[in-house]
Amino acid sequence: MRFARLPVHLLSMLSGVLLAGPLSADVERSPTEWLDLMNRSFVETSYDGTFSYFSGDDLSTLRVVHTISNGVQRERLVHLNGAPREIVRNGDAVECIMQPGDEILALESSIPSGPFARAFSRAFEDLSKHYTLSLHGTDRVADRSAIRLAIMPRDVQRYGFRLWLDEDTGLLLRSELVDIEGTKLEIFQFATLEVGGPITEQDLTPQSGANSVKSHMSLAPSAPDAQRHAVNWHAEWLPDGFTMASSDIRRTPSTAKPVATLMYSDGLAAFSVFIEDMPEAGFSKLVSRIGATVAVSEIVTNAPGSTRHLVTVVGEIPTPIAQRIAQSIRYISEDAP
Amino acid sequence: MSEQLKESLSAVMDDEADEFEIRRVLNEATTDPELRGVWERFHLVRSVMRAEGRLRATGALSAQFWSRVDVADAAGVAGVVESGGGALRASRPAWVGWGQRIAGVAVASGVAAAVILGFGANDNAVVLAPTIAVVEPVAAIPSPAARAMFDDEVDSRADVPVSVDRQRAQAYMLHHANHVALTNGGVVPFVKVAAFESQ
Repeated sequence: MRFARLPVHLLSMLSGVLLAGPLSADVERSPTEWLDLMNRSFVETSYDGTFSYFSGDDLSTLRVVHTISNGVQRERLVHLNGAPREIVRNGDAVECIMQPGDEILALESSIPSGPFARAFSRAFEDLSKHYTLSLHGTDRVADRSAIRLAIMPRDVQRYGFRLWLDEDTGLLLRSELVDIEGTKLEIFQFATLEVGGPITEQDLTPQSGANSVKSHMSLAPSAPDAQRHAVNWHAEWLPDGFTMASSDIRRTPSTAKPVATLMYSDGLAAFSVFIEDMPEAGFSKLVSRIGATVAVSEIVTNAPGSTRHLVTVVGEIPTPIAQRIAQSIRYISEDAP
Repeated sequence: MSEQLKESLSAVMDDEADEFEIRRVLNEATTDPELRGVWERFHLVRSVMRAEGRLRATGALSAQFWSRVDVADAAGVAGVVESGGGALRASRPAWVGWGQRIAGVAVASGVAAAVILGFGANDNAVVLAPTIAVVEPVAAIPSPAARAMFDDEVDSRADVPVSVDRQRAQAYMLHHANHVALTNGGVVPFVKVAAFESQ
């Protein structure tokens, strides 16, 4: 790619004309502009690659194929290890193909959009309030030249990111989620990546076997009122900059009991709060962690009739923060102002 | 809380309880706050021990964790010894050993960084202190035949009480990852979903 650009350099030098287009990697970009470019590239670019994701003590490896035709995003994700599992996306329609008895069948049936479809799709300008964005030279990932971008928290209430973005396209080649001391909690990295090559129909077709189980889902956003169900719970303490993104009443996957769900975000990090009636069995002040994701359970007792509720906070936030949030969840009575 | 009940809980946590004992502990726990408290602490210690570990829907947690816990040395020194996933169970631990071990959980080098979480029932100030734990393995090395070499080979037979919690946490983690990926998007949330699914 560098060689391909050489003539442009020569041309501009010879003619004395500075050629600078928005997609030229030679332009000095701000960190925010790099993030914007990354977002656009995730959607607009065709690519085919293999990436690994390390979290906790587990390493997953997947192949991803993405293209866009007539404004419709198409994507296919293939788990390369363990039980065969594929996710195929065509616009808003998502199909999950797996083997019978796969654990996920018993869990929630929603599947998110593709990994690169809406990456960091936030207003990056707002990030600077709680994060410092800075560029740190270049590196090489998946045999491609990458710029390094650090998104570091300004306080101890959230984690940071180190990103490696493709110098040509802005695609995310590697990311590290790091805690305040710089310890890597999660690592995502492409091993191979082809950008802009032809994507065939076969590349986007799942290899389903005779026994495969398929489940269909839609990514189309649901009605706004469904997203904001009245929830009589709130957090009395929140880390700085986190605001409620949604609230809803949902059902537990196993028992279909109602669960009040609150979700908060600071524009980059997010956590969810789940409040349910105290279960009859299996109750504990749970502290679980997988990579950067922590789950913390606490019991609250201020609901009417002194009934006990189990609060579970799940998110990519430091454990003490999650615990403090969980301990601050309170019931708001109906007639409260 | 009777000695017999303590023994039963100890057995449950130690993967040595039979179905009757598990049922009895479950039943008692619904009415006995002290038992619940003790149990919660055991859960916590275990969660902490697995702080960087992953959840698993099969709930092999109990077996896996406690199979890594040596019953410590006879001198009564508080210690938990990583035995490389080996099913090392010399004997059922003495009840009195629990408190000491909880107070001074030490992790072998197999677990790079463990955290000890200290909190009381009404303690708002949560202490999160990284521990540097170096434990000389004093116990006998388990014979290779006794080890579960892969995660899915761990016997999850006595794991009934734990799996409820773990499954709830896992379901919520998956739900959270889904939600984040849907509303926020992004590589990391999505891949996280993939990771939770595969566990």
